[in-house]
Amino acid sequence: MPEDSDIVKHVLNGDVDSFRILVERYQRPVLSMIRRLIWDSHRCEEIGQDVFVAAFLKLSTFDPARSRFSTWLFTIARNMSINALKKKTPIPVENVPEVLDSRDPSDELSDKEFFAQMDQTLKALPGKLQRAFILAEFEQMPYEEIARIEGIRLGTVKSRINRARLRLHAAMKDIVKGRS
Amino acid sequence: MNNNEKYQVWKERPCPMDVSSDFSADVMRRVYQEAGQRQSQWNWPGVLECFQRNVSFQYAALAFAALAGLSRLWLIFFAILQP
Repeated sequence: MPEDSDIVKHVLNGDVDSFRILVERYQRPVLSMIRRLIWDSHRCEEIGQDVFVAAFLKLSTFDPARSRFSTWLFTIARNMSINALKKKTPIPVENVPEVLDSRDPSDELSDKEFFAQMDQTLKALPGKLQRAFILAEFEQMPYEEIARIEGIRLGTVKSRINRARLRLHAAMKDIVKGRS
Repeated sequence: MNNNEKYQVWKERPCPMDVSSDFSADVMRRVYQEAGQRQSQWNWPGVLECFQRNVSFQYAALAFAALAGLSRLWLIFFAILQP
C-alpha cells in the first residue's frame, strides 16, 4: 500500500487520479469526525467534500516533515466543521447519532433518554472542551494528534478532556437523580 | 447497569456511518474541475521560475529590452536633432 506522502508527491507532480486513493482511505474517519463535531448527519457529506477539495487545493502547503497527512487533513476537517457550526441553524433532535444495541427493550427507552440527555450536555459544553472530548473518546485519537490538530500543548488537551469528563459526570449524576 | 457502565455504553456506542457510494466520485469530479481551472489560469510563479531557469529566454528578454530602449533613444535623438 503506497504511503500517504508518496501519493501526495504523485498528485503534486500532476497525477490527479492518485488523489482518489487518499479520498477513499480517509473518507470514513473524516466524515465520522465531522458528523460528531457538527451533530448533523445530513450536512457531513457536503462538508466532507469541501474538506477533500480544500486539501487538494492546498496540497502544496502540506509538509510531511511537520505532520502526518492524516493530522493535516483532520485539521482542515476540524476548521471547516467549526466554520459550519458558526453558520449553522439549530439541529433537529433526530440528527443526534443513535445507539445500535440489542438490550432489553424495557431498558431501551430510559437508556435512549439517558443518552439523549448526555448528548445535550456534551453539546452544551464549550466548543474547545467538546472537541477535545469527542476526538479523544469517540474518535479514539491519541492526545498528541489532538494537540497538533487543535494547535495546543499536550497538557492543555489533557486538561480540556478532564474538564469535559468532570462536567459530564456531574451532569450524569443530575440526570440519574432527576429520574429517581 | 450502574452509572459508570451507562456512561461507558454512551461513550462507546457505535455511530452509524454510511458513506454514500458516490462520495469519492463526487469529490474527484470537483477535484478535476479545480485542476482544470487551475491549468487554464496563468501561473505567474511558474512563469518566473521558468524565466529563472531558461538562459535563452533570459537573452531573448534582454535583447527585447535593449531594442525597446534603443528605439526610445532613437526617438529622443530624432526629437532633439530634428533632421
